[in-house]
Amino acid sequence: MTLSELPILSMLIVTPLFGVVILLLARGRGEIFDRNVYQLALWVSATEAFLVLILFWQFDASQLGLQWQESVAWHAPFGLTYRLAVDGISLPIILLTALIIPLCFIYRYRSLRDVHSYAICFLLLESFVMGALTAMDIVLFYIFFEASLIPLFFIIGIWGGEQRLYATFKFFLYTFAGSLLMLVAIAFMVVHAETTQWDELRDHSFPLLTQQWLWLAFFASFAVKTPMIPFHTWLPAAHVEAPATGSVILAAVLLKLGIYGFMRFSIPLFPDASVFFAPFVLALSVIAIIYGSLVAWAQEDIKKVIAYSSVAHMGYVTLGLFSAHINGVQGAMVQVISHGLISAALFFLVGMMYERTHRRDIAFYGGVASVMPRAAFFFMFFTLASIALPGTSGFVGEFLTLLGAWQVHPLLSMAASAGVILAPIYMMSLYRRVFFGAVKKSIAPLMDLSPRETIILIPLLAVVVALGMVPSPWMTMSHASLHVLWGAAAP
Amino acid sequence: MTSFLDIWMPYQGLLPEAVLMSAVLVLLATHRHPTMQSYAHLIAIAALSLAQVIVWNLSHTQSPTADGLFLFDTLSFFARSLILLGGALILFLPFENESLLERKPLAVEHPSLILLASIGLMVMVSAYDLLTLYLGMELSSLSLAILAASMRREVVSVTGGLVYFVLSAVASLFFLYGMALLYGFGGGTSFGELSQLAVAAQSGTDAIVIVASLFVLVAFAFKMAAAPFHFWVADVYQAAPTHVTAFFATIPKITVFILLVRLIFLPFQGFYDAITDILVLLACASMLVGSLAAMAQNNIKRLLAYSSVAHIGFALVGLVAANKAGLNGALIYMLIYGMMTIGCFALILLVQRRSGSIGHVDDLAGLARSHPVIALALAIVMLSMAGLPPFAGFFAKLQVLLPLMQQGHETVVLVFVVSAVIGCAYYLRVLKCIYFDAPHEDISLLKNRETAFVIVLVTAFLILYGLFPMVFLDLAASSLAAYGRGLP
Repeated sequence: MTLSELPILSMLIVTPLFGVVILLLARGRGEIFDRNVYQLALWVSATEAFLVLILFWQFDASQLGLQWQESVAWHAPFGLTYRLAVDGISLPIILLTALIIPLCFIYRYRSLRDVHSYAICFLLLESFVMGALTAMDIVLFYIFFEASLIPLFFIIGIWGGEQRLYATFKFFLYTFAGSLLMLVAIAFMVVHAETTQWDELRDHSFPLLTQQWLWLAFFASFAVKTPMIPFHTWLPAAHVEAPATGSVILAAVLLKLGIYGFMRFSIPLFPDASVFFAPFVLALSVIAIIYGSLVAWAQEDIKKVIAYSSVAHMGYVTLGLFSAHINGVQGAMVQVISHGLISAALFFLVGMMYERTHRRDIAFYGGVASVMPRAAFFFMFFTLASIALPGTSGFVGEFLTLLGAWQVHPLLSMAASAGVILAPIYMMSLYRRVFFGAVKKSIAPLMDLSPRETIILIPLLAVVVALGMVPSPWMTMSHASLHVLWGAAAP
Repeated sequence: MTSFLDIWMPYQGLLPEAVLMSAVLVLLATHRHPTMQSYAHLIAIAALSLAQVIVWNLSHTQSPTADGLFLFDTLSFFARSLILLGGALILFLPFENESLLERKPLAVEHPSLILLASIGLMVMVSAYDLLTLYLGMELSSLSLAILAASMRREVVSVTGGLVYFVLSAVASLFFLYGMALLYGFGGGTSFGELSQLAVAAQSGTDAIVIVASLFVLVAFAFKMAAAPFHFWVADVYQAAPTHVTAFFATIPKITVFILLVRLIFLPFQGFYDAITDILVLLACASMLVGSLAAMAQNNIKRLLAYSSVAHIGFALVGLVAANKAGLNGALIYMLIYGMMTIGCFALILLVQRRSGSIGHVDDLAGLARSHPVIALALAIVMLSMAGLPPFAGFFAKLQVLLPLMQQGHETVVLVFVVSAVIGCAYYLRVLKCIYFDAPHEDISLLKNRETAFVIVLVTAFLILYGLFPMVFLDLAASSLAAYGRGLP
């Protein structure tokens, strides 16, 4: 059997599940047990990352269609099929996911209770996300997409902060309601196109009015997930109450599923409706950029600042994506990955500080730079990346999206550029208030980042720089798939 | 010259019922004997298993036998198999309150009554004549009423039994009235004669025939607690001992549902169009009323009662769709519903508080910390009931939603989605109690290996169903092969 015959995508889904089964069988208590659980989970996710690397190595960027296809008949009456494949749209996000999850297991809380269930939830989440990213049967996609809610529900609800109940319910019911609308749309498509395969659905053309309704139903689900204004209100609640790694997963992996949904389903399946609704999405994006930035500016909680900055950054993604210009679409892709890395790093850093102080309010901090110089360096680096300093991935993403938008709607692009000014204002003021100034008494005894914590941040930093300095090899990975994304429909 | 055996040949389809009846007689004859008292439920399970084996080995017939009183077709075999399986699973469940067993004969009476009710239900699903159907219905209703009232010392229980008795008598009344009308206009009660009547009615002469069939339909709605005929369900669920509630919630409902399929698509198929609006109404009302009412419940049995109303609504959606896929989906929905419900009651029975068994949802608080495995099983059952993938409950909903979409009932789809979201909220509330709330100190587990077996079986089914959906769908399709001719 050669490498290319391996069912590597199924292995991506099964490997974490395998880890879950082993963990479910393991029983025990105490520090050593917890350490072994972490170790096992780390190995499982590292294996997963290794599989993804094989996939990456063997991926043929010049080829347009789906690669590594697997297909098994599964549920005959409506032709549902267990069908997996990757292309240039899913591969970058798969890479991102496989990078972030092991980091979450390297990061260890001293105060975390029930490490066992924690590891199970994260591995389940990894499996479901991989499934959602590779599924080429629309019902299969829905199953994984929806199932990913379950572990996150527990992650926020069990390990979250004080308002966790409110946050979990809001998060879950919001996304569940959105998803059910999508399920209805899927049912409609499956019944009318008589297929569940992604590529056959893409080739099936629905009349414009139908497309519009279906587009809206899909939008309800993906816009909640992304999140786009005005469907974003669950995000700050969930982020603030989630444990640090929960926020990391939420920002770096789950939000990306929403964008992935737009790229994989909304645009290719309903091209005419996408063109019809594009101005609407563009307007929402610009509002998200400006409103998200302004609200982030007004926050007194570090996590909320970063959560609202996520809203703004995802605004760039949708702006580029729905500009329908190749620059914008590519910029959206880069921005997706870039935001995943940067916000993950920032949430890790906030978590590391929270672990030491158990406080998230900005006013509590001050002068951290002189007691935690290493943390200050990393926070500064990722702050700069977040505000799109040239040389970091954030710049490539934002610049390309704005460039793409400029060529379609110069006015909107100009308005969105206001975000480029607003981002430094809120991020730098956050940095100034936390890290500079007189050292507060409560801050003085803090320890700087441990080697383990540094190890988590270094790969993130490396990729942000690599993506920022030499973006073109990364961009060719998805170039072919993105080029045809808008197809003939592109304005 | 016909031999003795030849006379009995038409009745061989009733062999499983005969086995059960013998077991009941043996149990009742020896119910004073202490050994019998401790082994009664095992004897009942053995009888059910034997009957199950017989059911699998009997040959199906496509034409009515026994003077046209019975039709032992594939659907009847499927339904009887389900009844026997469910009955056996429920007999594995423990008495929630050992003090109930002070009155020792109860240990024998419960299994006997469950067997009797099962016989009644099995007769119902094999009937080819309204009279046979009525006899089975009465046998099961009376046994169920006694079961509901079996905690004689508690007023709630007796009230619940009485409520069930009176209301099921009212339902029977509807049924009898409808039957009398049908007899008056068609001159017969056999399904064969009724279907000819339906053909005549279709030509638009006899509105009264449609009214009569509606009366029959209402009786069934009563029995399976579809809104707006669901009022008894919460009181009776709360009143009965929990393992009896588990029986109430599953076997009679599944049976009556299958019977509904049988009636609608055998004798009444001719005027399906006339009753389709009623079905839509029943389905939508059940989904909405069930979901909304369950939101307001704190008692876990009442919550499950209303959620069962909603589930009946979801299953009825498959009949509303009225195509082959919809019928199959509805049948599998009831199977999955039965598994989830039995698992849920088994889990509730296992968890004990010092003050007694679990009554309120809050009593489960913090279960995850003291008993993570049980909590995980309960979480899987709840998520499955909410219809979240990848559990069986999701496929159950998908398998009725797709056919419904195919027939294009937009309003029903809308109600379906809204109810599913509302439903999700109250199942999540249970999960919240289990996982996020501070634990009670005095929570403990009943040590019961048989119940653990039921739970393992149910959870495995709920997780693995998604991998092999075709096994069950093919089963449903072959059971329903003779039904709904001419449907898309």
